[in-house]
Amino acid sequence: MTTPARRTEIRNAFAAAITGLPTAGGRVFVSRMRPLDSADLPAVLVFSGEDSPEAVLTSGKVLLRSYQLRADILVKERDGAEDTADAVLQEMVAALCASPAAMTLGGKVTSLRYIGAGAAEMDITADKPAVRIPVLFEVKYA
Amino acid sequence: MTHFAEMTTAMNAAIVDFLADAEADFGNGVVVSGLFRDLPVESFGVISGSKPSFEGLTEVLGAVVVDDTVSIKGVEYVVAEIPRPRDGMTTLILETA
Repeated sequence: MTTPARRTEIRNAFAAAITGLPTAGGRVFVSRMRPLDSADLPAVLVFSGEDSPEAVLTSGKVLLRSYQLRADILVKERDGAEDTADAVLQEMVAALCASPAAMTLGGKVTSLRYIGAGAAEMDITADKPAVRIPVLFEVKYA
Repeated sequence: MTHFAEMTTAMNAAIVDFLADAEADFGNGVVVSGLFRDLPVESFGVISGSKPSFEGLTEVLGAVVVDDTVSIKGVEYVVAEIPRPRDGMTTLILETA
C-alpha cells in the first residue's frame, strides 16, 4: 500500500476535524464528484484550492508550502437554508480554531488560518431552495 | 364570451382531459386533474433534485394561492409560485413539503 500524498493527508485530516459537528454531522465529503441527495444534506464538500511554495532555498528545495482548502457548505431547505449554512460555518470555524492542536490538524501542518467565507449563493431551480457558501482556509506545511 | 375564447376554453378542457396524468388533492374533497411534471435538475451542479409543477385549467385552479398544500401521487407539496395564467391554463410551481 502506498503512502498517501501530503496533500491527501492534510485534506483528510481537515475533513476529520470538521466531521461530527452538530449541524452537518458526518456529511463531510472529500473531493466528491457525484451529486448529493437530499438525505446527504446539509453537507460540506472539501477540495483543494491553490498550493504554492512559500519558502524556497536557492537549491530549489521547498521548505514551506501554502495550501488552500475549500469547504463548500451546502444546504437545501424550504425555509431557513441560509441560517442552517451559517450554523455549519460557525461550528466549522470554531472546531478548527478550538486549540493549538486543532490549528495544526494534529501536527499535520505548521499552521491553519481561516481566510473567510464567500457570498452565499442561492438556487431556486429545484424542489427546495438551496444555498451554497464557499469557505476558504489556508494551511502551511513543510 | 367571444367565439375565440370559447374555442380556447374548449380546447384547454380537451387537452387536459386527454393529457392529464395526475390528480392533485387539495384536501376537503377538492381533487383536480392536470399535468404533473417532475423533471430532474441539479442545484449548483452538485445537489440532485427535481422541479415539480402541476398544470391545469385556470377555472379550477384559480382559487389556489401560494403556500397551499397539495398531495400528488402520494407526495406532499407546497405551492411555491403561481406564474400569471396564460390562455386559460395555470401552472403551479411546487416544492416538497
